[in-house]
Amino acid sequence: MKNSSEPQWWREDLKRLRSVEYIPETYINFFESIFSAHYRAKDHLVKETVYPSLGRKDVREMLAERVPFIHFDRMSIGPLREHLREHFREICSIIGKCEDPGRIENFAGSENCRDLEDLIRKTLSYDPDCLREISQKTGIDGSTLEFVALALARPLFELAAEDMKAMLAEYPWWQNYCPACGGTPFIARIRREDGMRMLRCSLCAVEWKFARVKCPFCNNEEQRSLRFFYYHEASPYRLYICDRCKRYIKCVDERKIDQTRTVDLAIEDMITLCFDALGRQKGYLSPSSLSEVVTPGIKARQKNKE
Amino acid sequence: MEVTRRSFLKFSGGATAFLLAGSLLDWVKIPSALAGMGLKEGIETTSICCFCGCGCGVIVTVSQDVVINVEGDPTHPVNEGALCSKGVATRQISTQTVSEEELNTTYAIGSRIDSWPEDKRLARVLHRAAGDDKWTVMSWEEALPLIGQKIASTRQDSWETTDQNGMIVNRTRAIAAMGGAAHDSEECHLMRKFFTGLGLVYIEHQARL
Repeated sequence: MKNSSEPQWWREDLKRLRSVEYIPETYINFFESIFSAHYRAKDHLVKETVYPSLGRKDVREMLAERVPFIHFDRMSIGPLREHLREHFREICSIIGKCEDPGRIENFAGSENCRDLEDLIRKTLSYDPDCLREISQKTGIDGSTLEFVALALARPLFELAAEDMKAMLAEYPWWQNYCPACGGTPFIARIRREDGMRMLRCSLCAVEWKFARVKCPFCNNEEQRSLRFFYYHEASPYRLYICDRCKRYIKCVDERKIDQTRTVDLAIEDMITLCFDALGRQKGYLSPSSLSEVVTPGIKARQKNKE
Repeated sequence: MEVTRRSFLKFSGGATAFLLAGSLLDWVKIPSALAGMGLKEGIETTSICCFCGCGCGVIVTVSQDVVINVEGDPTHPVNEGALCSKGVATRQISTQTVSEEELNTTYAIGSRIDSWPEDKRLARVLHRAAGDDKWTVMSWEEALPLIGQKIASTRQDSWETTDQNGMIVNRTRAIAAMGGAAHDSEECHLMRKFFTGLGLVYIEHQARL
């Protein structure tokens, strides 16, 4: 059954994804399950107040200070605990089908809601010692813990940012971290209407404006060290690279895609996996560690406190 | 392609929306259809449109030493990504090498020589003789004296020393000068000097915005 948070083009896009020859079926199935669980969680959570409502004036003041306005500690987790737990069980069950079912099952049964909150908090504040401790206690490796924590956090953050999404897409933010939650971008699109490069947050799915010729990771503006790879002029996909920080970001040019199709960057991210392989082959990396996903926002907040 | 269970989740839960394919990427190969096209590299540079004085921001894309695209810079405060028809056409004024064969082609009148790809852009004088229906390629050595002769004869035939009230005017109204929005101040100054010296009164440099 279709979840109401599920975008209407999602199933169609999934079919398109299945036609991509180089992505293993197992991987697509996993992706589909995780996404479906994500939409289900959003459907449940949307009935509750995830985040205390912020006035537009407050938000604009924070944005002017270059401080992201959503923080996990301000979320009203209390009424959401049961949904969070349910989502956690579902995520564990999906992971358990692929990896170490016994251990994952134990993990799913052992964590109580307060522990889950703690797991998310520790992950988002990037506390490696704490994560190591949880990892030792549960026997679950660090990367899986991070994956679970972020999968739990994403619906919460997406809902918290939902009302501000349209405003943020037009706000002159120009920073290399998300204006809503401080997350790092994972993919970009060139907007059909005006050619603006929009970066998409890896945590809350908010999109914001960013300069076309600038590295979204190290802010390098030296144009000779910013290049891109592509296969065909008519193709919408490009791999932008920075020779200074050796990072890459994939970009989808909507202007080269049929106007009737809505571009879902999460799907495009999967479809363009070969560009990730290409980036690695050429010696470039995307932000791959958790610290890189969450630290830009942490730094921005710290700077503001000082 | 088989993905083992153990290796399947060896990715960070981080950067990409939901998954970051760590070990999976080791298996991902560039599809043959794409590989067949050949990987190309491009570079984008921000610049200012070389036409009128508005100063619109542009992004010029170059690949393999060829300008493949010029578009408005959406982050530029003047034009916010928009360009006028002249600005959009700036791709055509990039300099490219043209083969002898292409240069010596005789072009039919009415063909859209201004919108051809760079490698076919107009690089030599094209001349259409009076009454002829074809453009023919002419060298500058032939063209410049011909232009000079036409100017001199027209000026001589149409020269007015005084106007209808007997006022001394020393002018010709049979020749007009049209400039282009791409001319800078110095060029406009020299052109104005030259044409006024010739006695022209209809001088237009098209620098309006």
